[in-house]
Amino acid sequence: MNKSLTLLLVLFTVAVTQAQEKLITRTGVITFSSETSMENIEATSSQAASIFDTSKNVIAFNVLLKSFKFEKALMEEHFNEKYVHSDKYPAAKFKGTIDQDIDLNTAQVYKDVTISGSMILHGVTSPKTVKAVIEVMEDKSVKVTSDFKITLATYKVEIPSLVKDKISADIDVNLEANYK
Amino acid sequence: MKKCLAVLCLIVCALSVYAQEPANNQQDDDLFAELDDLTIESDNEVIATFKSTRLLIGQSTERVKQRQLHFRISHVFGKIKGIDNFFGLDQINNMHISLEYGLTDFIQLGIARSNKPDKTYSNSIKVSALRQRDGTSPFPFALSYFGSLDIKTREYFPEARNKNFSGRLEYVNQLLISRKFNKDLSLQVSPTFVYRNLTETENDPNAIFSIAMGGRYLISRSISLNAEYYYTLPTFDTHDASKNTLAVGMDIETGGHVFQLYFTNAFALHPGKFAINQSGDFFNRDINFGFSILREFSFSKKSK
Repeated sequence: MNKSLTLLLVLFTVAVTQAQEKLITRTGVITFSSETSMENIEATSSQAASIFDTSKNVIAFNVLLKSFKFEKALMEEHFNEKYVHSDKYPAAKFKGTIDQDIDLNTAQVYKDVTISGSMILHGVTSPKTVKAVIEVMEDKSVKVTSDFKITLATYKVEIPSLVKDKISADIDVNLEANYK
Repeated sequence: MKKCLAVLCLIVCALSVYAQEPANNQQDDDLFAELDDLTIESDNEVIATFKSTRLLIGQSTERVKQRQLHFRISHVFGKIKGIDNFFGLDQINNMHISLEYGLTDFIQLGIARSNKPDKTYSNSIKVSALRQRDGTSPFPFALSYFGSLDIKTREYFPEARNKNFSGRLEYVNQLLISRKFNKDLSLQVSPTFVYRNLTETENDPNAIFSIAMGGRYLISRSISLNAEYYYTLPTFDTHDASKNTLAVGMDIETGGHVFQLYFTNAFALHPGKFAINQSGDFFNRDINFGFSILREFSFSKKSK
């Protein structure tokens, strides 16, 4: 009888642990910027959703392109209408596997982590490896930050010749996600 | 009792296995599907119905967003009648400057000045009451109100007319209703009411109703063809259908600027003058060339 109860308890614990193997956030912050001698453009979204599947060391991101806020309202409209066509391709996605071993049970900072996977933007899927910093906090929450570049041509985002001097061919992306 | 427990155990086992299954067999798409549910939904407002807050010379349902300032210079040249006045470019018929500021995303305030014919200052407000939406809670059209108090500051004769301040005022009220049918085609209908406190002659009406119709068609990512027509209701004797205002032209958008080029029979660029059945006869070659340049400035807190 007691044995049975213990077994039950163990099983319950397993089931509960299972559910906790995915860390999530709905408010990841992604900033991208284009710098040229003519014009600097920057936009930020703080509504990037992400899942960190700790059982498989997989991280996935999803961000709606319409959630990026620009300083100039016209630019925001052009970004959605003319460049990334967010009516047709509403979100940018990334999924990758962490190449290093990470212990999420002890507070520690892992620098020079690489995450290998693929990115989907503007309807194009392309392999992508990014460098990241993963911080495991005392309360077991996890913070992931990353800086990387994307090349617009890879994702078939065309820049009209009229504004070629104003928009960089490579876009710097900065990402921060706090998982719970 | 023991049997009962065993069954319970089995059920829990099954449950935990079940909980594990999706985790183990998880395909790429499942994780992304899970993410889709997690992602905060955007408000699904239909954007870029028109490239600018003017269709060509009349107002569109586009608005100046919060903390943005639109500076616009518009010109209409003289009648296009032959090389001797360089197809009208020798004379500038009208010089129109406007500043429009977005108080919020839904209320825009503007001031403008038109030199001809009355040195008119316009004080305007545009309220974006309803926006077209798609997605889970769709709404079929956008609706805005545009109102303007115009003050004519030119000198009048005789002196009594000159001193009559209320006689210098006119009021413009427009309901702007637009729909973006697809990524290229947008159409707009705008019932318009103009009231002038004092007219030039007794036969001129004080109150004039017009219905504006217009639209745009994108021919490339940066260029659209536009047209608009102000049909004035024949509620007065001096009404002449050929004097209704027509404008055809194009938007060219280049990053921070929007250029508009058009041909029109109107010689004024504020609705208090072009929406009142007083333009030239478009089909009798009373056609002028005009253009406007729009530059957007940002006072957004994000600006560094």
